[in-house]
Parts: sequence; structure tokens; C-alpha cells
Amino acid sequence: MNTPTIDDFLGINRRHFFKSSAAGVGGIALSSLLQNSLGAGKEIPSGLADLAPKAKRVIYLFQSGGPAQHDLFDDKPLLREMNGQQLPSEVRAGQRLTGMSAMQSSLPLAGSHFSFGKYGQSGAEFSELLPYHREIADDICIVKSMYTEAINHDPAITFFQTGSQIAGRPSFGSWISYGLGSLNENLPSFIVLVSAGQGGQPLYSRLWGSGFLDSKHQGVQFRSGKDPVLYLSNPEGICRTSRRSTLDALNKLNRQQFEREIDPEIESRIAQYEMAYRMQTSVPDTTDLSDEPDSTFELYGEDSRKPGTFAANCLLARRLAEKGTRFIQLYHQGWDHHGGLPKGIRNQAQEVDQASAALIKDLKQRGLLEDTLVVWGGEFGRTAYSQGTLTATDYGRDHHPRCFTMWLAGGGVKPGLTFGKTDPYGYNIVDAGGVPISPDKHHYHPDAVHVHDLQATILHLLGVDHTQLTHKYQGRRFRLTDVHGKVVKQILT
Amino acid sequence: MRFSLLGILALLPASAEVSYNYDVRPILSDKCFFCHGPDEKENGAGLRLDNAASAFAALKESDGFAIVPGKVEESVAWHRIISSEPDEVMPPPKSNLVLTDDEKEILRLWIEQGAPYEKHWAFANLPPEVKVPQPANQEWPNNAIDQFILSRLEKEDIAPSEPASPLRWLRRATFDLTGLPPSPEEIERFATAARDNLQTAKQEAVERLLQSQSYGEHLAVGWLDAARYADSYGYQSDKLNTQWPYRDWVVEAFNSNLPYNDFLTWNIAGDLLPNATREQKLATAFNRLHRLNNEGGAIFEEWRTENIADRVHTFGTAVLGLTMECTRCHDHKYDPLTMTDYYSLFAFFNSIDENGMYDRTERVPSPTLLLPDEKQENQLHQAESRLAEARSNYQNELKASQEAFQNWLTTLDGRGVGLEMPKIGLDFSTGELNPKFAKFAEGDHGNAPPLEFKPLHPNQPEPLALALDGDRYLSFHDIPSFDRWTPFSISITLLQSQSTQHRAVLAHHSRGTDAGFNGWDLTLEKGFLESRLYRVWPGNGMGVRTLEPIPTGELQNIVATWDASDQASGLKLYLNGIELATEILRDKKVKSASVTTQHGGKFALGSRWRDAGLAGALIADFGHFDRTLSQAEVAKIADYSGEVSLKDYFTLRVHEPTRKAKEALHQAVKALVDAEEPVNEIPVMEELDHPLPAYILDRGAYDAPKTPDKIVPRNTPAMLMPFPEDAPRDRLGLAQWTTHPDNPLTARVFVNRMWAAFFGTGLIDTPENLGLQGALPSHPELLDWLARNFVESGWDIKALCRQIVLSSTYGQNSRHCPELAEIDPENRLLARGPAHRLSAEQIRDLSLAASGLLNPAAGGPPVSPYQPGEDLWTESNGMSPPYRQSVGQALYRRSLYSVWKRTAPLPNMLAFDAGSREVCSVARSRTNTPLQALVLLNDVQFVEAARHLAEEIAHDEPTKEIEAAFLRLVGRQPTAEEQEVLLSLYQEQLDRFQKNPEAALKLVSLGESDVESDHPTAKLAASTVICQTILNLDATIWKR
Repeated sequence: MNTPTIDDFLGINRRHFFKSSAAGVGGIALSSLLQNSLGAGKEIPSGLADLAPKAKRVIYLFQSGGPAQHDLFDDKPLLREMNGQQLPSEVRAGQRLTGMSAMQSSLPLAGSHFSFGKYGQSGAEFSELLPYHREIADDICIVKSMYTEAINHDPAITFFQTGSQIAGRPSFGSWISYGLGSLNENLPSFIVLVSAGQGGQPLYSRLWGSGFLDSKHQGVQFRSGKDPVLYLSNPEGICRTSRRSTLDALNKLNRQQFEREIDPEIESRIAQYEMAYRMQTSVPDTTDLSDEPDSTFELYGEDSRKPGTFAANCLLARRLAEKGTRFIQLYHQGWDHHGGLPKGIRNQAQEVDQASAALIKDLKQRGLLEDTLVVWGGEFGRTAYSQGTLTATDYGRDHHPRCFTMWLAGGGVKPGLTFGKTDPYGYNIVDAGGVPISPDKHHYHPDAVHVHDLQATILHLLGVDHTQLTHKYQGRRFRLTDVHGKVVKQILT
Repeated sequence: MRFSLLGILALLPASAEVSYNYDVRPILSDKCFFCHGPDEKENGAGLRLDNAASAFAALKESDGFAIVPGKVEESVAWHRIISSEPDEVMPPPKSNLVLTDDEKEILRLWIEQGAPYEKHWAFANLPPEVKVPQPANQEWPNNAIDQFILSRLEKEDIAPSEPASPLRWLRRATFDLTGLPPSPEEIERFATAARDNLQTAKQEAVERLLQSQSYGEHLAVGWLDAARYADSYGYQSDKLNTQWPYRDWVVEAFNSNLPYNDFLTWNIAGDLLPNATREQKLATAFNRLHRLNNEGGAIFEEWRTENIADRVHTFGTAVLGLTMECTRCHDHKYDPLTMTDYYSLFAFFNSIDENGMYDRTERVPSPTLLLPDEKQENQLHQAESRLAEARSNYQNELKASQEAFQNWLTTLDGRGVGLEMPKIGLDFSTGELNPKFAKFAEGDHGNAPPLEFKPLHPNQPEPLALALDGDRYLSFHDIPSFDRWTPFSISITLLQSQSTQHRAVLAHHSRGTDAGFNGWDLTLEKGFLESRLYRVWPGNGMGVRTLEPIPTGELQNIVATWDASDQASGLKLYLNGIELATEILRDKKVKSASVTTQHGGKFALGSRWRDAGLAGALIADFGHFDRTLSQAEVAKIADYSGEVSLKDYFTLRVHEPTRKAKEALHQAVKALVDAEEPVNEIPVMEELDHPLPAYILDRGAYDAPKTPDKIVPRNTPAMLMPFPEDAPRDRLGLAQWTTHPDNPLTARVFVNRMWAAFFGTGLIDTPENLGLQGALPSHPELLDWLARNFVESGWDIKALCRQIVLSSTYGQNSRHCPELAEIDPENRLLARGPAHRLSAEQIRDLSLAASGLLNPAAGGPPVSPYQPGEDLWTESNGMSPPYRQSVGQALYRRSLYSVWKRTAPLPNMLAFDAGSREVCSVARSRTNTPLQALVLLNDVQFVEAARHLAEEIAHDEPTKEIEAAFLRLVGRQPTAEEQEVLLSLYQEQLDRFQKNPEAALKLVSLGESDVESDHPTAKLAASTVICQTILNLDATIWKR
């Protein structure tokens, strides 16, 4: 019997098993599937592993709610000059608004209350809200010309995380787990960390679900509470040795059953019970931050000592990256500043600024940034005009899918680059000549980055051709990028 | 020749005859149709290979013919297939598709043999008759199923397996028919009967199982997956819904063996049946179970379109096994389905009075059905009669008052009538606001400066008026909410320089967000004035609209009155003292029109939070009255000097008997609302009087241009049997088409799914797709025979179950054998019996049933079993309701009744592959994961069950305990080997717990149920571990 690997972590179904029976009883590693032309009759066509990967793993710092680009990354002095004046209709060009501000009788432009500067040799632009980002200005690649399709949170975040606004598709991390498998046999290949107690826009299990892929590819949420993974701890009164003897008996009985039934699934089940047993120590070992020196906590900020904070999760993400987790998905909620933005965004930015920068620095000093891709951003941007009444001290911003800013770092992305431009209102993406453009997924434009383009680029960096990572379901070959997506070559090293 | 089924491509003899349906089309469909298929818009070189006419025609963009029947060398397609030039070869390299040598050979043979085309097997009508084959072995078959299976096995020269042991069969059949394990008593009874006559014993057992309540509870699960039934709405805040009566109806429908054609008809069109019963209407909830959004800022039409699309997709997948969703944005790439087909089906589902969203649990999205229990029904009847009586009394009093009125007129003696003061009256002419009554703006405009006062007339500094800006509003402190039983009147004097184009709020007393307001509002759209009182607009409320627009440019006095008659005609509008002619927009209501929500709840003038207000208007004065004003009073407010009838002034103000009768009417309305309020209300289908047009939406987008040329009539897909000529063009007609005895898909899809429920895999292993890209059936004739037989039996589901469970095929042992594993690893030929892991529900129910914890109560609102963590519902969703774990017996209900939260399903169910029920699903995967081990070993649900089982079987002799636990969980006695392993584990654990009584106490104390046994704690703890171990066995959680 082969030693089961982490690819069994979330199981293996019967069909896989039989179709790969050459690999022997006890499960099959996807890595070996890769070498064997990813075959086993499943739908990963050959050629997938041909691209040389720049990144081995991804840490995705999702900023849920839609961070306001005008107040963080994309300075628009014109908005300050025109503060309170109406958004010119030719700038909006009939683009739809949400039902929250569509009913407003006026759309007053809102200049950011925050001052901006240019930092690093690259001259990357940050507002005063992101002081720690200045230190990584030359390590990250800022993309100001992101755009998406959805205008409400639920469909927009679902689109970002699964490539479709429709529920039921596999999430980004599941595709990666499906395509590339894991690098550590005692931890899941796709791990989800959610900042605790943030409130704000909801998150859903579908965002890390496996859709029509095997459920072994679904994200496993690590928590800050008593059980880092649900059901991980033995029931009270059962110690580890007691559990061991139960498992020994269970294995014996299941082996007897195997001898009667000759069903390899039984052997596979025995292996899963052993994996579960190992996880009971490997997971807490990873999530226990007590072996980190004080300097680590100084780097990530005091918050990182509090389990469940974004800072603690960034630190945990680094530990998971070290242990070979393929896809580490963080979520930080609370960026949905419809009103009271100046006050709200200050606290919000403070929660993530230091730790985001620390993660980059930490990965870099450990030599991990080279092959770790870090992604930072939300599901859409926010409007140039104020939602609700604009006053001297207050404004809000509504959802804006037409342009927003994200950043990437490491893993084959050009450091110190700012890519893409927006018009002086921060309302539309403009081309290199400054002319506003209206790209959509059917009409590609090299100066704009659609969500599918970003997904294609991330897959490319992982060595995967996004058009070839497919799975046949309902008779159709599905992929993360649907029938769209272009690799953004300009931001690659 | 059908060599593709098992993936065994035998060497092809040169003379082999290929079958288009079984050999050729799977290749063409998978490798060619994407560019050369039914989607004409994207056809490469204008060539279609999915039909003979196009494939044999002269090529459009080059010389020659793609396929010349019988002449391989002359067929351009063949040369392109075998070309080695990257620019030439088909499929082209960029498609990532490659033809294997075997596939090429099949295509070559097919062309050589004349390239015959056939209709896709699943799209051809169900044959009227299917011949049952006669296998050589006449002994083995027990019914027709076996004759099909055995004939095929004989062809492959494979012998079926020996019969499973009687107890193994019993456990298998009991799980498959009820989702529960057989009890020790049932096992005992069956074993005894089986010794006399096995076949009779089996028949009796099957009848007993089919008659049990558990049968419907088990069968319902598969249908509820397909119907995407859940207990929450699914998007964003994911609030709980009220759909559970539908789940109970499904259970009941299976238990009463409602024929499947009726079952479908009720689901699709129960509301349209003549004299539809409550159950028939309830069944139509099927089309309302889709998710609904209540996200702020969402656009109603976008989500209404999504909902209707979901109905089409679910109908397509669950009923027809078609992937209709592919045709929402373009013609189908593989199946002969077009966008026209899609929107023609869409047209059946788009005509109900819905707005596309929901707001909160209490405000059930219309149209709805009230489901009172018996007591509530009586109360409703009483309230309705009381209201009818009050209404008639009032009418009588009005008539009777005529004489008194005449007398009263004579007493007036030329004096006018008096106007009582309003409850609140505000005159803005001085530019001051009395803070006692009102203040400026809340919500998004909380920090905004107050609205300004501006001169009413240009060039004159006075009088002043309140200048509305469309966003900010004046909020009043003490105006109680308006409802169906509360009379009121509002007077507003305003000046508008021009009409607004969109609907603008002049005044309102409502609550909620832009996802849906409720209460009363007075709005202007292009000058037309509307007064509406509603709980859910448009399906649940009353509203009127003026026939003429309100003039602009001059000061106008508008009065809106409500007489609390609970009829839309009681919403009256006046302009400058004269009643305006109106049309009734809606007049349907249930429950209160004033539901408390987080936002709103105050009367406001000028605008509403996240809504459009009346920008640019000037308000001169405002008045609120807590009564219905009479015509004379309205005239007086407006300084109207014409003639006005005093009749209603008399009845409303003066005449005591009519005033009392009206007061009684208000109270009767209130009583009706009170009676309606607690009644469960569920969204159902209810057809509008006139169907709404359906448009072909470019790229499926809700905001695609809706021009007349895009309108499509209601129709079923053109490639399938035609819509019956005499059937109505509505959902009832659609149901008639669907359940037509010759419909190619309905019966095949259903029997295939039922087959999968027993055998783990369907005869077609893609139950979600019977189209060209779907799998081919392993036993096509059997599938057709089963489907035809099912239709002939009167769509009798229990008969179908009986047939399957009593077949020799089903009764075989499921033990693997190495030789078979080579030929047929997935057991598609069924040379052995079925074996697969039990479902999430079955595993939990098994542990409850075997332990004696199971609470067999049927039906009712969902219950909330144990959930790990703090509160997984609100953990990442601050807008979700909190998880409230059930108490007492409700913790131990069958899993069918557990609450199904779409964005946060119960994790121990998810671990065993239960879905989220966000969208239709007709098959679950069966994975094998470490998380499953963690759940079964550590989840309090299963630990408690093990402990309870240990109590139930407590015995001085551990071997007896092991036997009893084994029997309950595995359905048989343990072998000597098993006994030995468990006994030694028991001794070891007992020793451990005796040394550590604290641990023993901790273990047995887990769970909410009390320990009732007086067995020593250490022994109980050791037995608990034994029971847990048995519970985790393959022999327990697998059906074998």
C-alpha cells in the first residue's frame, strides 16, 4: 500500500480510484497524475504543466466590501477641485448605478480627504492611510485598471472567487488544488482564514466551495477558536492514546471487512482515518504562533498576537506558505463605506496596512517572495461621487465596477510597477493616451484588466494555461475564466 | 457495435458496423460540435456536422464536400482530420482537443458505411413498446429488469454474483426505501419469515417499508436536492424563508404515492388546475424555491430575470435532463436547442406578480399562499365573516342615513360646516419649522444640513416654502403607522415647476430599504399621483393612480385619504378640493402593511432613504388627520368654492349610527389582520391575468434591448415532441406536454434517477444531462422499458421501487471479485449488487435510530441540530440571523428536517457531500475524506448517539453489548474475529476509564440528553467507545 499523501486530504472518490488503480491501493497523488499527463481519464488536458511556474503558491488577501481606490491608491486632485460639483454626465456615460444612489437627485463629486504621496524608487502612490505600504512600494505591482461586471457584493465576490456570478462553480483555490495538488502531505492544499468579528458584507461557504469538482478540493477554514478546524479535537474524556487504540481496532475491523468485500474503498477509508489522526497534531502545530520570536510580532504589529485578526492571519499565512500550502485565502471584511467614509476607512486601513506590508517583507527576507504570489484587493471599487449628502466633514461612496485598484507581489510579478490608468475623475479606465475606454470581456483592451484577465494571469504565474485547466460537467468543459481572460503580460517579470 | 460504453476499445474488425448514436456522435459532439454544431452564430466555415443536410452539402468556404457518404477519400473532413499540418488539422491545435486513432477509425468506418445520421436517442419519443429479451438462463431472472441485465451479462460471458445474504438484502432495502437501518425486531421477524420462504419474506418486507412514514421522508431528499429546497433565501444576508410546508408536501406526496405525472403537474401548474386545492397550490412553490437577494442597491429587474432563469434551468435539469442554461446567452453548442427555445420556455415562468427580490423573512415575496392550521383557519373564517357583516352593516347604515341627512340639512340653515383642526398642521410660509412635530432627515443624510426655505413666488420675499431637493426629507415624530384598519388623511400644498420623469416620493409612512419598502406612500411619476398601502409591492397591497397628471407651474393642494375599508377604492385623491378619477393598480392584501424593520418607520415628507424624492418642489403647507376627511372638509382645506355634497361629511362626522358602523368596520379589518398575521405564508405561483411578454435577451442580460422583434411566444423546445394542440399555452399546457406518455425525456430522466438511488449510478451516469454530451445508457433498452412500463403503470413510483428492490439484480451480493474489477470496475453491467457509502442524512439518521435517540415526529418548521463552533451563521455574516440550537427532542429529528442554510450549511452534512441547495442538483458525489473521520469520531452528535446506544444495550456481559450494538448498526451479528477485536478494545478502554473516572464522566456527559442508565460510568464510557467504533465501521456507513 502506498503511503497516502495530502491529496487524499479531502478524499478521493471511487471513480478516481478505479481509473487510477495502477497507482495501487490507498489513493493516488495528483502530483503523479501531473506527471502521467494528468490523465486518469479526467479533464485536465496534457500540456498543463508545460509552462514554467514562477509561483508555487498564492496568498490572496481579499478586502471584502470594495476598498475606495480614490482614498487609498488612485489620487484624483480634480475631485478635490470640483468637490461638490455634479459628476458630468459624459463621464458617467449612462453607466448603471446601484439602487442605493441611482435615486439620488444629485451625484456630487467627493474629493478625498486624505493626502497622497509617491514612494520608493518606483514612485508608487499611496494615501496617508497606508504608511506601511510605503516600505513595500518597490516590491509590489499596483494595477489601477481593474474592472468587473457585477455591481452588488454577493455576485461580485462570487465572480471574483469562482469566475462566475452564478453559484455552484468551483472556487479559485479549488481549481488550484485540482490542477496542482498540494506540497505538504499533512495539511490541506487550500486553506481559508477569515478575520474574526469584522462584520460588514457577508462571506459564504460557496466562495471556497469546490462546486462540481471533488469536495476534497474545497477550502478548509482554519479558525481562531478552540478548534482550528471544525471537529478536530477529540471529545472530552478521549485522550490521544485512547483514540489511537480505537483507531487500531477500527483499522483491524475494516481490514477484516476488506478481506471479505475486496473493495479498495475500504483501504482508502483506513488511510483517511490515519490522515485525520495526523491532522490532529499537524494543524495545531501550524496555527500555534507561540514559537514565533517577538520580532515577528513587531513586524506584523501588536494585533498579530490576537488570534483571528487580519495581522495574525497574515502571519499564519506565512507559516502555511512555508509548509507548502498551495492556496491561502484570507478575507478581511468591512470596506463597504457607503457613508461615513473618512472615519470608517481610517480604522479599516489601519487594520490591514502594517500586516499586509509585513507579510511582503517577511516573505522576502525568508526568500519565499520569489515563488509566492500575494494578491491584495476587493470585489469592486467605489464611486467618485458621494453617496448620501456631501458635507465638509463627511462623504460616502457607492459600488463602482468600472475601475478599481489592486496590487500583486512576488511570484513572477514585476515589482515597483504601477500598471493602468484612470481618468481624472477615477471613474473610467483610460488607455495609454489618456482616452477613456469601455472594455468588456467580449472586447479586450490591453490597458484594462478584467477579473478573468487577473485570474488568467495568476494561473499563468502558477504555470497553468487557464484555457487548459478545465473540468467537464454537464457535458461542457468549464474553466475558471469561462471563455474569456488574457494573461496580462505587461506585469510579468 | 457498442464498444464505447465501458471504455474498452476493442480492435475494430474491418467489417464492423458503427452506430451513429453510440459510436460516432459522442466523438463528433465532444470534438467537433463546439465549432461545427447547432450554435450557428459561431459556426466555423459555416459548416455544421450535426445534421446530414449541412454535412453533405457543398462547402461554403472551400471546394468540395465535408462528408461524401460512402467515399472517404472524397470527404474533405476526413483529410482535415488526418492532416499533419497545424493550419489544416481538425480539431485545430488551439481547441486543445485531439482525436485518437481509434476515434479516427470510427469516423472513417462511418463515412465508408454511408455516414448515416440518427436522431439522438434521448430526443426521440419514448417507444410505445420495448421488447424484453430472453436470456439463456431462465432461472435467475425474477422480473423483466433481470432479463435485460442477464441478457447483457450473457453477451459478455459474465455470470451474475450469488444472492446477498437475506440480512444484507434487508439492510440494503431498508436503507434504500426508508433511509433508516432495520431495527432488531424487524431483523428478527424477517429472518424468521425468510426461513419459510425468502421471496415472500422479501415481498412482505418491501410492502411494510413502502407503507412506512419513513419512505416518503427518504425519497423526498432526492427531489428536494433537485428542487433546490432550502430554509434560507441564499444571497448576502441569507435570511430564513418559510418554505418548509413544501418539503412536507413532497414527503406526503411520496407517501400517498401520488402518480409522478400528477406530482409534476402540481409542481409546475397546480395553481392552474380547475378548482385547485390548497395542496395543489402549495406544490407550485417548486418554482419559488430559488434563491432571492435582498442586497441594498440591487436592481429589481436584474434579479427578477435571474429568478425566472433559475426556474428554466431547474425545470430543464430536474425534469428534462437538459442543460437549458447553455442557451441563455447563445444557441446550444451541442444540443439542437436555441435561444428561442430558451426564452420560449422562460415565457411560461415569467408571469407572476413578483418584484424579483425580498426584504426580510416576515415579508414573504408575493404571490403567496396562506397556510393556516385548523385553529387559525377557524379564526380566519370568523374574522372574514365579521368583516363581511361589518361591511354590510355600514352599507345599511349609509342607506338608512339618507332621511336623517335630509333632516340635518334643514337644520344647517345656511351655515357652513366646521373643519376640525388637523392632528399636525405645518405652515412653512414664515420659514420656520416647529421642532415639536418634525425634524430634518435621517439615514444617509444624517449629517446633512436642513432643507432650505425659499420664496414661493420669485420676486416676492414672502411667503416662504420648504424647498425639496429630492434627497433630504422632513421626518415627523408622532404620527402612528398607517395600516389597513387605520383611517388617515394627508394634505400637501405644493408647487412644482415641472414633473419628474421617474417615480418620486412626495410623502410616505413606510419602513424598509430599497430592497423593498412597506407601508404607505404618495408618489408622483410624470405627474401621475399614486397612493399605495402595501406589505410587498406589487403582489400584496392596494394602490390607485390618477388618470390625469397633476398640473405644474401653480400652487396645488393635494389631499390623500384612506377610509380603512380595506379596499383599494378607499384610497382617494383630491386636487384643489375635487376628487380625482383614479384607476386601481392592485387590490390584494394579506397581513399588516406595517412590518417593523431596521429602517424607516416615521412619516416623512419629501423623500425616502435610498429612494428618489421630489426634487425642486416647494411645499407651502402640510396637514395630517387621523381620520378620513369628507369631501366638504377637503374642499374647505383647498378653499374650493364650488358646490360640494355634504353627504359624506354627515355620515363621517355627524351621524352617530354610521360613525359607529364605520368604527366597527375598522375593528373588523383589524381583527382580520390579527387573524392573518400568525399564519404561515409561503411563496407560490399564481398566474397574472395577462401573460407578460418574454424577450430574447442578448447575452442573457436583463437590460438587453426589449424590442418587439425579440418577443417569443410560449413554446417547448422545437427539437422535442410538439406542444399538444389542444393544450392551453400556459404552465398547465406545459405540464401536459411534460407528462405526455410519449415525452422523450420525462420518464427516462426520472426512472434513471430512481435507478441511481438504488444502484448508486444511473443507467445513464450523467443524470443531469441526457443531451449529446451526456453519457450513453449502459442498458438503453432497459431504460426505455422501465420508462414505458412506468408510464403504463400510471407513473406509479412505489411500483417502480418494488420492481427494483425485488429483482435478482438488486439482490446480488456486492462483494468485488478481481476478474470483474478488470472488465467492469464501476459495476455498470451489474454482475454484482450495489454498494456505496450512505448519504449524509442516512448516516446521521442511522446513528440516531440505532441509538434510540431518533424522534420520529414528521413535518413542521425546520429544527437546528448540534453545530460546532460559536455560531457559524453569524461568524462571517453579520446580517444573518443567529443560529439557535434546538432544545430537547427537536435535536433528534430526522436530518430531512434540519435547517438548510444555503450560505452556511451544517458542516457535518457538508462533510458527507450534502449540497448547499443553492441551485438544482440531481446527483451528489460520494467522497471519502479525513474530515468524515473527524466528524464521526468527534462531533457531539455522534458521540452522544454512541453513548445513548451504550445505555440502551447495557449488559453485564460485554459480548452481549457488542452483539446488540452490532445488530443495531450493522444489521447482523459480529463475526468471531470482530467480537474479539472489540472485546479487547472494550477491556482496554474499561481499564483506562476505571483509572480515570473523570475522563469517563466527561465522555458520557457529552450531549444534551441526560444519562439515565445506572450502569457504572466507566463501563458506560468503555461501551460508548465500542459503539463509536462500530459506528465508524465501513460495514456501518456503507450500504453493501
